Amino acid sequence: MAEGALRAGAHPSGWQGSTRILSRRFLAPAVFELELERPAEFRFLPGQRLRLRREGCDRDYSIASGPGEPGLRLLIRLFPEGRMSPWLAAAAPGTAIEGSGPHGYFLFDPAGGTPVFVAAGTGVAPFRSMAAAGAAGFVLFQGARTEAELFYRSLLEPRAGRYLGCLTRERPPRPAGTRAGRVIDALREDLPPGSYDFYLCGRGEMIRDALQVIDARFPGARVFTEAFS
Amino acid sequence: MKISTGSGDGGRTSLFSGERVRKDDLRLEAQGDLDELNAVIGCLAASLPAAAAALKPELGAVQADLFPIGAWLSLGGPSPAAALLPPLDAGRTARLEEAITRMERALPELRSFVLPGGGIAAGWAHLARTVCRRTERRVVRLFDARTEDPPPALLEAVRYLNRLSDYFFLLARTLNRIEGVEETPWRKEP
Repeated sequence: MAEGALRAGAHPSGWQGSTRILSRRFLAPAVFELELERPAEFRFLPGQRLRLRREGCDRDYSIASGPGEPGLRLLIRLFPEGRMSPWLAAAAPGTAIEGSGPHGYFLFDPAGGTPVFVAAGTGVAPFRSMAAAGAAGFVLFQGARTEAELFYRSLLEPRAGRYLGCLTRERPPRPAGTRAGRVIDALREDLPPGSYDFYLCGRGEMIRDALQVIDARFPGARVFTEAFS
Repeated sequence: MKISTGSGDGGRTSLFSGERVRKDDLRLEAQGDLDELNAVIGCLAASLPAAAAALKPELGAVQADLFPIGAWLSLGGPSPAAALLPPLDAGRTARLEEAITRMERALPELRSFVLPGGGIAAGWAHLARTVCRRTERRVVRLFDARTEDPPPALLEAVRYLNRLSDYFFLLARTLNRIEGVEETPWRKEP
């Protein structure tokens, strides 16, 4: 797909309405990929979110599919006590759900320095969308507990200029293309001085820690963040 | 929406454009003034006398207008996010101008300066006016700091803020009239 799909060429639309669950696939015991029917008028830019609503509960999910793909894929962590994810994990295909979007400003800007994507857990979703839309040559530090939880690695690694999985609970021997530790450790130890644009997606604690490292090591860098609550 | 992430604990924050800036950056100062203005309008709306309750939706619309202005202020340099921001078109300013004309027609002509104050609501309106003027001055200073021409949205923001302070001045006078509070003319000698 042309780079234009990453920018404002395909201008997002405001949509609110009902969609349907098409399929669900568990990628790990507590993480699943949900595919939803994409409403005809729903246009988005890679990095944006879809908001789902059920019984007065709103949840935003980064869209993992590219703008050119027919469905809307979401990468969802199951929180057993949550109000939305257990229902999504159990709803039958064909079930309708209310939604709106796209939301958010976590957009890829190819005009800057070398992009460094930093993803923790399901925070890799927007980067899959950006890669599906043509982003390439980026550095990707992908954090997970085990190698099996490096979601979308097979799609992302070939498109990356440099890929490093950061595993916190994988036992030796260390899998190829990975290191022990958090993505924060990779930012601190595995990135040489240079001109970078950082894109951070994950839990707020990861974003906070990553910003501390980036402000200290790369004070002139641009930083784009998308924090999960 | 999570309010506290702790990501700004180091005294820096990110603009829409990704630029990391100190929290005393001029763009954030302008946003802070805008935020203060919006809070003052909230106090003004809360203090409206029952006879002026019809003005509440108008103030709510002004509060809503300040959000996209804040977004444009935080844009920083060129950014794909600009395509997603609500446009700042002349329609918002025209709406203010209509309200200004409506109030001007209903008020007696001013023949001297008046002391800011009167009723509580009018006092809040005067405070909103002064915070609005400070916000406008700060946004204008942003133009000097930019290396490129300001985007049309920012130029429209300045027009809007300029009208808005006039609006608050007339609103203060209108509220005093509604509440039957005499305006106090300024005199050289007390």
